[in-house]
Amino acid sequence: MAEIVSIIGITHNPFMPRLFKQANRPPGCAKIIERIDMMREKLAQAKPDVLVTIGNDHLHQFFMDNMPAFMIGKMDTYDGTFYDEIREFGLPTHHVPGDVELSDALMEGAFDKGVDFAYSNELTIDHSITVPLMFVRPEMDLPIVPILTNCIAPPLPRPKRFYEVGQAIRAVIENLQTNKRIAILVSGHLSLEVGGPKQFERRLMDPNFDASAVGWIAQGDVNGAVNHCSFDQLKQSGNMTHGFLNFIMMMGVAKATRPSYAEGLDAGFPAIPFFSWDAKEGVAR
Amino acid sequence: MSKYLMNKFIHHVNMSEAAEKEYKSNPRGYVEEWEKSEKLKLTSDEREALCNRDYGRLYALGAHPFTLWSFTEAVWAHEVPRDELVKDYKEKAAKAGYPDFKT
Repeated sequence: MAEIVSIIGITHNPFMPRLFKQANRPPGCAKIIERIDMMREKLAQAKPDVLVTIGNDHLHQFFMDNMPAFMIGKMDTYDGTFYDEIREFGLPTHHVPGDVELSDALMEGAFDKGVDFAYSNELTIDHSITVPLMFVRPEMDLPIVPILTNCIAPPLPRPKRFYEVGQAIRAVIENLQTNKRIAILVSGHLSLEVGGPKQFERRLMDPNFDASAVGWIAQGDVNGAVNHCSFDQLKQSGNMTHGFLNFIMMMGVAKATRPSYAEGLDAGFPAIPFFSWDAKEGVAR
Repeated sequence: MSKYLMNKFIHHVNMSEAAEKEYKSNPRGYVEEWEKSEKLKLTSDEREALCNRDYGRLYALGAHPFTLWSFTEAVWAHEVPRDELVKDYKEKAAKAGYPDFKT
């Protein structure tokens, strides 16, 4: 039986890797790096064989001509990233190994749980997958199964569906006939604005939303999360706050159990999310 | 469907170094030539905004904010210091509020 040995939820802020290297980086960076180091250590201690990486393409591979709600990559190597992300964020390119067998098993198993994933045999991953890997597994030695959501190009799937898809992923993994140790690495946002009147402000966009959102996850409050995260509700907290939906999927993977760690870090930027379910505290149950 | 096409052009320029260079060197000529190869058509408002690299107008017309900022930086930052560009973009966006960017 496959075992989920760790669930980690983290930021995919694409500016951070470059910012961290600057000599005159803002003072808040030290706290962020400390949390990232902690998450990297948690993942290492879980000794995973494979990472299921949940994120969202940012209108790179997928565009409004062909926009899957939820999709799985099925490749043995993934390239990251795209020209615009190298130009704008100074992100490096990567080649990350994939686990096609697990991609297929998740895909087939999800159909039987009522979730019809789209798939891609030619997927390039953007910062929502590469940045979390840079943070918590910079060696990029573990094979990944990328799962991408549409939380950027409305109309979006409903918050409840994000939760259900997370539940399905968990159920499929628990029934797999494999001894693989599987970790789930999820990236998303708390309140955030990009490309709107409040972008690049170095403060929490909506402290009330951030506190509520971290609370829903910390308490396993699925109703709280799904009832407050419609497209129109989330945009009140910043025009790209919809990235929080990935964390509702994470709650589904975690069966709404209480996490080992939950924080929306205020470090002089929009809130930086850090969540984990550690094996010793029952992630596998 | 023209809001979609406007976004498609922004996306196209944003994702390709070659398109970015050609567009920057001759915005109007590049937009008009590109549109000829498309089945859908831009409205005159959308076409003028793209021909003028008018990010404030594109924002107001419902361009996707995430890609629009990236595009704006790509096609203006060689002429305008980034801090000034960010400030002007935000002021123009604030005047438009939060237009519907659903396509």
